[in-house]
Amino acid sequence: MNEAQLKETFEKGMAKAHEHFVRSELPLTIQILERLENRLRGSSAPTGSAHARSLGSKSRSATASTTTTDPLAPLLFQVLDRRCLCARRMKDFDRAQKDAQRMVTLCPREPKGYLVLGRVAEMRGKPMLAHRTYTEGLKRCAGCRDSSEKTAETAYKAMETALAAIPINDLQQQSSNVKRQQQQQQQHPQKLKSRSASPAIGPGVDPLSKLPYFEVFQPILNSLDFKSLLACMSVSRRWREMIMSDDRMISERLDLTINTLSNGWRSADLRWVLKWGAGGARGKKRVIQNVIVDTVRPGHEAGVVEALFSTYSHNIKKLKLNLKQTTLFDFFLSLYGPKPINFCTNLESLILDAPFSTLLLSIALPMFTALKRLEINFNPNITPNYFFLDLSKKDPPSDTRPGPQNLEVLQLFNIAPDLKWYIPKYIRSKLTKLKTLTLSYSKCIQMTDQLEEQFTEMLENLPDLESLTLNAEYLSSSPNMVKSPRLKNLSFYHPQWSSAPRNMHGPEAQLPTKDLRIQYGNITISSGPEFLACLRHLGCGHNLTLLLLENVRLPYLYDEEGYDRYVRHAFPNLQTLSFGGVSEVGDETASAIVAREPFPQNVIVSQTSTSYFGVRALITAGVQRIGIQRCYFTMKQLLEIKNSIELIEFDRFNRPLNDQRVA
Amino acid sequence: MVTLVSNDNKKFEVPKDVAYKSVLIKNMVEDIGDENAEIPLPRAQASVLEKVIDYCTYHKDDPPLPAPVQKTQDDQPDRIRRTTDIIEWDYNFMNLENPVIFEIMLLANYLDIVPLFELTCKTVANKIKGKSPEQLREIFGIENDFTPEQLDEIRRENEWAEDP
Repeated sequence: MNEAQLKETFEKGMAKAHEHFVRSELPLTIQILERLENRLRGSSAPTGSAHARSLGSKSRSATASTTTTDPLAPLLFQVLDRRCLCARRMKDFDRAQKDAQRMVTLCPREPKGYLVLGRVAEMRGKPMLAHRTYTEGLKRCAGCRDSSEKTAETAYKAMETALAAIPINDLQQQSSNVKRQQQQQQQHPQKLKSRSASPAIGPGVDPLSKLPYFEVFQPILNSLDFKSLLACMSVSRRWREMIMSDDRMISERLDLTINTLSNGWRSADLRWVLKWGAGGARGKKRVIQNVIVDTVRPGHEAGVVEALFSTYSHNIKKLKLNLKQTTLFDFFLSLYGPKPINFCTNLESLILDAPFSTLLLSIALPMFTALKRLEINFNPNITPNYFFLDLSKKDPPSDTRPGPQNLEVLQLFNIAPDLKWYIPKYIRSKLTKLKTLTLSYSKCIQMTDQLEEQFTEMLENLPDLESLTLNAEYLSSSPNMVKSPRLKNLSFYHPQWSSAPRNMHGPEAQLPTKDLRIQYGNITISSGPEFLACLRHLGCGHNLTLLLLENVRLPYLYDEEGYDRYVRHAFPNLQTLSFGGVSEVGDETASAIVAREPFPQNVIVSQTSTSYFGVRALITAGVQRIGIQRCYFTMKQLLEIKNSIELIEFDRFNRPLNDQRVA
Repeated sequence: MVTLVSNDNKKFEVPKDVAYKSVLIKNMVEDIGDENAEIPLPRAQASVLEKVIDYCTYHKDDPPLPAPVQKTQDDQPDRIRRTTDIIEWDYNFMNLENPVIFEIMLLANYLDIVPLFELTCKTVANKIKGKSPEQLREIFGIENDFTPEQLDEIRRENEWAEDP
């Protein structure tokens, strides 16, 4: 590396360090400077020890000039200078002293080094040492007093000022201290042995906290679990202050995964950490990124819920909550009333797997004003249903409060069927920015004309919708279903379709739907043309790239002629095709899929009667990936397949949370 | 051979690969440019330095530590380090009085011997883990200097942690 390159590396590194320095990310700045130093040193490696030696001898024997002619030394000097500054800011004096010392060794004729070293000594409360350093610096760099170099001159003058500012009293006091210590040591020679490398450590009194915090104490604390940290905070005032003043120590633990069954978490710890996060004691706010409450010990749920939805909860950003009892239901019920409630104002993502009533949403949702993503699995088996009493009416109690304005993802699973009226109304009026909507009722709901009107109206009021997942009967009469120009992903679980739409306005080729998934359907559409009409009605045409029919019995699609007519021609741009879960799909289907161009690149025939020969046909034709889980092969065949093609894991296709429960 | 001089003027002749376990010594030797120079270590006490040299001698053939990976924001927090992966020799080596451990820790930090420093950290952390504040005070010889009011506040704070 030549001089110019060296300089470039240096400047880049310094600029980056400066960037972090102004944001007062000191430890990071130090890291960067350390790396820079290593790089600078490493870069001069080719010239190797000869170079280093010349540098060394120069710095010792340099006579006339204050700066060496070596390009590396002044650069390193500046790096050390910056790093020392950071260390001083962090009150990490050991490190600062180390760097300052090296500055002096590196360029013994630069006054800056002595100035810095003296400053560090002063900050450590050693005016005597500072005095000595300054005096020596002034003596050694006498030539800089009227130097033409501005920086050297400033540093020199600053040193003079600093020297004058050291009060003589301090020196005397310190020297008497030293004398006293020496006397003590003579009196107790055995204590001498346990005297440490640093004079800061005396025997007896709290040796740990005398250690430099960032260098020594913090790394120890970093190895501790939360409970031990808690204990440390109760040891002494000094310990408590040290830990509490280190923002990162606690805040990095605020990314919480709480499992009160196994790793010692209790609802109490949660409340404590949340309180901490709210900055109760010191008034500083800390953001809790992510709280996952996984498994809660029986009897602790109420505590957890109360801690989570308290005044301390404003800085949680993401919350995932898994509860088994009706605690949450009871909690929100107790909040129902005219009094406005204000918590979790910064919550962006809420994922609930808990017994919870849909209607309570209207109580809970307005509280979470920043919410962007909401997923709830209502778990109907244990959801108390006494709150649904007056829901037989079409209109639920009116609610004037706005919903979360920015909600983009709403996924509701296991919705009680009696709320079929309420949900589309609520969404239509309060949640108009949705991009992703999943409505999965605990039973497939039957569409009446009126209900369908509600759904249509809801969809018309969601202009940004891109992805829709439903388990409802086919919207048989409305041609407006796929009206949103952005709707690309459509999924149906457990649909019960029996016929094509009644008034079909054959939509044309360029339609938005890219992704259609139908799973566990009870579809009794009797003929291919009618089925094709259904898909067309859903917007499937040339744009369709993914067609997933899992556990759907459509025999007319599975032979060569049927496939050609109803799939290949209708959806020529298909990339991924899945015919999983039905025994009618077999080797013949596999051959049909690849009989002619174009054929999809990803083919899934999981849990079908497809055998080795069908799979062979797919591979030979040049399919890129196949899904063959739960098909039957011999070990030898499976091994061969695995060696010749990439397999698709079934789970890559998101399956609904509630599959087993409903099926 | 590198000669290290402790603060009580004892000299230690150390093979280069052992001494270079310390990044500081390595840098200093390179700064000076003379591999046979005496390296003064004004912060190292002979007895402690001897211990550190023992450690470096045993570990001189260890591969260098992998460079620390820059953490991105999305990474799972891995702050709480494992403290159980201590090899037997190290464990026996660390079987020392607390003050001596702290001295080794400081010196390792000063000399920039990362694995030794981490070992001392782990050792001390293991001493802290699972102890009550009272036990901690006893172990490290710390006086309880909280005022009754502060103690009360702490107790209230930790009250939640007391549930069954």
